Amino acid sequence: MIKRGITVFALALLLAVPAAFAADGGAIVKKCGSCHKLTGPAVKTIAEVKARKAPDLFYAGSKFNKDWLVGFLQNPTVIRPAGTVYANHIKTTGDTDTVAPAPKCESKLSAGDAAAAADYLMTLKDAKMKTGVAKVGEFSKAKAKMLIIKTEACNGCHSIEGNGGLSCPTWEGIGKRLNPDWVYSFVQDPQYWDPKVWMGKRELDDASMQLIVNYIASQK
Amino acid sequence: MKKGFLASLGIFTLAISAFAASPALAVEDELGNAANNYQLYCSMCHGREGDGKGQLAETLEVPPRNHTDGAYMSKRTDEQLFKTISEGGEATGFNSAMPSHNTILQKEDIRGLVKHLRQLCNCKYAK
Ligand code: HEC
Ligand code: HEC
Repeated sequence: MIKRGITVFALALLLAVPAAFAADGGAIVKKCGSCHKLTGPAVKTIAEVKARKAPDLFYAGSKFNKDWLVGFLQNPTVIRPAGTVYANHIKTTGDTDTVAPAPKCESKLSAGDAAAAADYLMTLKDAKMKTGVAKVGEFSKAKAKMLIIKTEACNGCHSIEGNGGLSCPTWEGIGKRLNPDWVYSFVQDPQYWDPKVWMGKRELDDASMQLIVNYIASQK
Repeated sequence: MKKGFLASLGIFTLAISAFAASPALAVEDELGNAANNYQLYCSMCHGREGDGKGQLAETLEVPPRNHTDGAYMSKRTDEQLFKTISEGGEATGFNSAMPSHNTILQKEDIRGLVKHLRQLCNCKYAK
């Protein structure tokens, strides 16, 4: 009797475990670790940066907007036209350097799995990032563009409204993708997030930061 | 006895060669690292070969410097090059499209880059 009870219990467990795991975001995301770093801290040497296959995800919950994640994980688009590490994807042909086609994210999740994975990714937060800093609302687009294009030349590296460099992530749809508080933090101190990233730190006052954050948030 | 002597001779030679090799290695490492740094932080503008033909070059208001131009580069002192790389173009009277690197790179990295530039131009400072 007792023995039979145990067998039934064990059987039930066996059946329950896979069912519970089918939509377990943590288990889905674990597989992405073949390309993405899922635990911190970020790498600190050039050799490690050059070996990086894909962007770090261990602070995904601070960086991304959840709705964007759910869509992207089902159907990834190109964000970095010259790859995660630009220097690995350029070649010199004749007189100029050209960009070799960069690998896309290989996530191809179903809608259900994408939602579960996004739920899990949103729990991966950076404990130190200040929230509620970005004030998204009315802003002067003309002033923002003056700062972004003329003063800071962000378009040197980023493609903005269809024009600009390829060595860094495009701003097309960037407002859907990124959490404004994270944008604020990253622009102020990129090396806090990624010690060897090739974007320089900028000393900008809060008013300028809000212009940048608002402009980025408006790029949907 | 003889064996022991040979063994210690062996260790001695090893120690000497290690000692002799280390300064050379250090330099090679420094330049190897500098070449990597150059690819990661400079090539998008100055080109993989340092000839100023990087992929971003066309989008910049001012063309990036051609670092293989010995005639021009020999007019710049190592200190001037260091300062431009560290603090950016604006700090030394050049265009602000040349970004600062002092929050990204250590002083040793920047010194390594100056040496790397001297290799690219195959030149040194000459008045
Ligand atoms: C074969 C390698 C590979 C695998 C496996 C992979 N990815 Fe990616 N992923 C990439 C690359 C490369 C990029 C950068 C694409 C770009 O910037 O255009 C990327 C980008 C992303 C981004 C955007 C990151 C950012 O900072 O913009 C997210 C989110 C992401 N992947 C999630 C996932 C998840 C979740 C999985 C697993 C279900 C996964 N990826 C599996 C290679 C991979
Ligand atoms: C975003 C593009 C960009 C990047 C990245 C960049 N540069 Fe420049 N650099 C420029 C431009 C543009 C100039 C020309 C400025 C001028 O002529 O006013 C320049 C000029 C220079 C000069 C010439 C200064 C002089 O004395 O004439 C040096 C040296 C230099 N860069 C080194 C570097 C090094 C080393 C790196 C990488 C650590 C680097 N640059 C990264 C755009 C860039």
